[in-house]
Amino acid sequence: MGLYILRRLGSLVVVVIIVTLFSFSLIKFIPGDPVINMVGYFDPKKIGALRHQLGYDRPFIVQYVDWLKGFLHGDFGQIFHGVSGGSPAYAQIKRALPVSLELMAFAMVLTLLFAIPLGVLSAYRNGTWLDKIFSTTAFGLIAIPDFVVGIILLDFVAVKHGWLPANYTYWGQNHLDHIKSLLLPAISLAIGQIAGYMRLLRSDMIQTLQEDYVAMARAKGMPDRRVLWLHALRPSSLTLFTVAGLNIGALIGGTVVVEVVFQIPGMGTELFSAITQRQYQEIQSFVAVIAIGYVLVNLFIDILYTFLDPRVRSARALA
Amino acid sequence: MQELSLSPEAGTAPVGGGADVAGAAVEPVVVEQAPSRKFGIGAWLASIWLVGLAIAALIVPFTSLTTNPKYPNLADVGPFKSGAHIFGVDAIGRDQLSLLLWGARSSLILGVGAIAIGMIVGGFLGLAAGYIGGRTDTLIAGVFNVLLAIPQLVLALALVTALSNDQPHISGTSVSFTPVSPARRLIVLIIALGIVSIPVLGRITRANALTWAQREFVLAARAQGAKSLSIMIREVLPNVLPAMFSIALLGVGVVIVAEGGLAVLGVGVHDPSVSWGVLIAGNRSAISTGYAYLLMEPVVFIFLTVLSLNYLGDVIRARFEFRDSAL
Amino acid sequence: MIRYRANGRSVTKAVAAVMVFGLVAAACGGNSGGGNSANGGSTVTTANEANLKPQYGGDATFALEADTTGGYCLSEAQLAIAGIQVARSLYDTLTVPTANGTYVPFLAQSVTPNATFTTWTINLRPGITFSDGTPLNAADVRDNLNNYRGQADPGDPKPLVTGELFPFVFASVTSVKATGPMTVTVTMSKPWAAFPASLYSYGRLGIMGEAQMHDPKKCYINLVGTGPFQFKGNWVPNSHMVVVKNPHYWRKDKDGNALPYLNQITFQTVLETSNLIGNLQSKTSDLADTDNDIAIPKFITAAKNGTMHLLESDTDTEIAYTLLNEKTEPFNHYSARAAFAYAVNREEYNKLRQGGLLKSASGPFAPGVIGNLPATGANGTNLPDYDVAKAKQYAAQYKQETGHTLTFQYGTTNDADSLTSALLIKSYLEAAGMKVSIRQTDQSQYINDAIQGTYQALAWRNHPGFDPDTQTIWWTCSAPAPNPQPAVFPVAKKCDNPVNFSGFNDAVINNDMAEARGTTDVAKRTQLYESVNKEFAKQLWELWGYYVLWTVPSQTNVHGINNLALPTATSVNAVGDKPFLGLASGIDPAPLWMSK
Repeated sequence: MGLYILRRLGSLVVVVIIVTLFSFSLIKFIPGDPVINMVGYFDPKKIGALRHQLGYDRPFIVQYVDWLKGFLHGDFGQIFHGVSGGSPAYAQIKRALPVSLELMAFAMVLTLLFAIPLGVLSAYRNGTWLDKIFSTTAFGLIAIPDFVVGIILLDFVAVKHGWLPANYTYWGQNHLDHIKSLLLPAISLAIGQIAGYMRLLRSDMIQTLQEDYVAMARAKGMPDRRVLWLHALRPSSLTLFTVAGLNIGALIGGTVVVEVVFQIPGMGTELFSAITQRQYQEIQSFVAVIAIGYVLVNLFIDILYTFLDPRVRSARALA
Repeated sequence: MQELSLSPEAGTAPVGGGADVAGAAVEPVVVEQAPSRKFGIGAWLASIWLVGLAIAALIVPFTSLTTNPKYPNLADVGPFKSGAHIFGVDAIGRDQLSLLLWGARSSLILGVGAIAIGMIVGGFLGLAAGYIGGRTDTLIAGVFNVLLAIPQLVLALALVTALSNDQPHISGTSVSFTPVSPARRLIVLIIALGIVSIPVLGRITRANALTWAQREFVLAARAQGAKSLSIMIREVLPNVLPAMFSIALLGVGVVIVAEGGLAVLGVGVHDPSVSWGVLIAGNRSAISTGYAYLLMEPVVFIFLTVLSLNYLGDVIRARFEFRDSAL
Repeated sequence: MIRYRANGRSVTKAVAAVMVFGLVAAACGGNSGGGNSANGGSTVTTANEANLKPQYGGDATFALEADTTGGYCLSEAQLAIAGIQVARSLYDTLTVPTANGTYVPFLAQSVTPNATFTTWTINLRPGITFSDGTPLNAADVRDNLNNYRGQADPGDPKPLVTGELFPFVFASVTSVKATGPMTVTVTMSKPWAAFPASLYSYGRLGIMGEAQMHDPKKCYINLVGTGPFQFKGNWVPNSHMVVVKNPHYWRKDKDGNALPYLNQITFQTVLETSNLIGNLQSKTSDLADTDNDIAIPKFITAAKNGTMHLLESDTDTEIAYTLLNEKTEPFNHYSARAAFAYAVNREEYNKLRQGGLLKSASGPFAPGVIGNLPATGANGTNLPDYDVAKAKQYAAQYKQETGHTLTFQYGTTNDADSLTSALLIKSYLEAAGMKVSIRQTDQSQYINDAIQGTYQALAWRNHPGFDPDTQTIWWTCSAPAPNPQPAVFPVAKKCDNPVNFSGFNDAVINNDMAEARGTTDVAKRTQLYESVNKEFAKQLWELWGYYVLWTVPSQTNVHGINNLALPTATSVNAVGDKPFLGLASGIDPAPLWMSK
């Protein structure tokens, strides 16, 4: 097991290096000069001097290695403010990451809160009109893009009626407003997912309900509700949480459009504006953090799974 | 950007052996065969919508429908003021129906094109990984992981700005301006979103290839000394295709939506092309300005299209009973 | 100064808002709700405030259209109106404009020229301290001015934080000396009668404390000023910035009570139209600075219903226009410029894209600015207006001159609203026989294009009013201009001033701007700036579009918006001139208060 984790960590390093190298080269291809962008210089000499000072005139690979060294030492590079100002990109990531994570967690809680009861119910009532209504609705909801939900909610709920705020509020500013300001974006992200998870859980539960031990429990006279929530849901929930975990991994940085629509200062918005401003070092570190997050979450789930399901372990042993 | 891989259904990483990061090896869950997923009236409606749309998108260049705001007629701006514009007229006098059909053209080409890349590249890699296994499998799984770990936004934004910008060329003191061709932007978008779809389709293919690779007839073919490549293509591929195709249908929808996300960020298709995403992005504040139909029409078009694609994908899945919901 | 409306890290819409010919409008064919009087000016839709007694305390949430992530190292910062608004809460300028367009001392007690306007003596107001406790003295002001201009007299501290623009503004300043503990003497190579206007520079020339200027790396965030509010480090870029009351602020209200009234202001970055409207309607924001054409009609309605207050002004505002590049084909040809000018239906465009809110510009000088002229009539600029036949005729003439069809790229930012506006412009141009492609770039690229001259035509905005002398840096060149101006601008003669993005070099403009700089004679200056105005209309170096309309929407319990009189030379109480009416440099935050 230890060896397995070690090997996986090794592959993590490789993945992160390839990903960052790749993104580093992509960013360099984008036209537009970070130096001019920073300072608005009209004088080519000054531009050249600043470019030199920042090391942007060095060979590509040197710049990359330089960045990587810094990154490994916890230096995520600089964000440039005007001609002389600079602040560590680390602070920016430290601020943006929790915002995104919180939004994702919020969306996830909403998702599971609705998806689990609905999924269980429609599995239990498999084939009835209730199930059909749920399934059809879920099917339709999946087809609505999250940012469209966001745009419509924002315009209708916040702008037209002013029921909820249209702007993000930090926890430190006002607790209640903070929660309120996350509600609409979380709903936008959750709607499609509720439908997806519900369908997943439903088909999984239908299977489980046909298993012998469930039939046994029923035969013993255990009430349906108990069978459903205690015996049937437990194995199915494993599936659900694994998928949920995988989703989190990919959602880091994947909530961009919703973040942009609601002006949530999370990873997505920050990354987008960093690209817009050609803040090379910041983009680079954001990409690395997102990639590491993605790989780590996957690794974690994999390991967890190995513990929970011995069959996987034996499969691994064979591989 | 809509996560390409992550609708729990389209993206559930399939079963597999060793080095797959996401795909833990578990017994596949066989999806129950819902009776409603037979090729019934729903499937017919979905097919009719998609085929109709495809035909409209094909012939729209040969009609008089144009997206030019050539003769902005103030009297016509607003919903349904003139019988000539059954879907209304947008803020600068463009006929909304024309926009929607021209938009269908870009959106469908984009969706199908990107998924074609994903199918071909991802399909081949997945097939090889699943059939050959061993180191090949490890390597390809690594490639998929790398592709999945790159934030899709960075990939798409960078590709579009790097490869399809109308950056003037400076030589000495003279500057020359060559406009970006919308076709080129479309191709770059297809490539960008195609790359993103490679690991998704690749993994599905791999998982299915893995199960088929152990079947008797494949083993028999191998015993008879058939070449690997030939077995892969003759024996494994035909059996894997329905699964790929089903996921590909979902994928087309996801790509269409993803372009919408890019359009919101300002890197959708390029003028004079329009796409549904561009129309949605362009009418973001339409509800608060009383022109909600400008936003809702492309939304409905995307909705119906994605719904139809998902439904047909489901029908195929139910028909062929393959294993896809693996986790 | 350059009006990067959305400075730095801003997302689509604010990016859009940059310098756009048609601004940012979107689908709103709504009626023209603009409440402006016919000749421009300010309209206030608020209750009569004369009898209200200001109350102390409170935290106002002030929505701004962008965050200045470049920070507030004023001498090098690129401040748009949002940034200026924040800067005005933390810093004071040496001079300020008044309601009648003159400049009076503010942080200074007096600003006096010699007879030839080549030496200016600035006397500072006594007893003012910076937020770090150090008193304001002549050395501080000298060092500020040196940082702005990027030079120092021998023996004085070297400037450490100098931006790109102000060295051009103060190019003719040869020496800045602290000639007494509270006296600074500025010497210049040429007469500069309008120098006090540049000491304000649209509110950008705030005086920073030495502690801020000493550390270049931290200058952007270590904000030390004398303003009504202070910065305590609470700033989350792209989200909000909090400034708290300066308990020792030097200005007092007319009764001698301490200012400011508010305990703190939370500046909130609100990029998107929807969010802006939503915030004011849900009372998440107490007030805002905005020129958003979609939002303004909403606020006008709300103000009419009495649910909100609204202050509007297009006096002394900036101009939305098309920036042409005369350094290259095709706009070095007069025929190409004329074809463009005649092709665009500004009136219809305004209705379709700007809710009918904006007034077409007659020239680069907004109402309220000297040199402003009517569009038509004997003394009008007679700027070309929509006439397809003439547009076609000029396009044909261009083809005759060059042998090919008039073809060019029209640049706009890459958000959807700007694109829609650009498409409409394109359709006008194509209807007149031109071939136009739209080039959409993100904001960084956009500004680079203008600076490097890699564009043909860009949607742009600049030239806020105040004193026309402040436009000198944008339009004048020192290299000799072709005289008379031929039909095709000789590119070899292009402007040697890199801040003149278009690159034109015009003898009349060069001479008149320079001559006007040397005099305070109002009649003379008016005549010279009118001549500049007419020359622009004659040569069509830029295609003037609209006067930008700025508004301050607010909740009904917010008071004191732009109504505090200025101090006088002898009194720090608000007993002097009425404040400037224009909103292009934000509002004075000191008198803001909220009723409970």
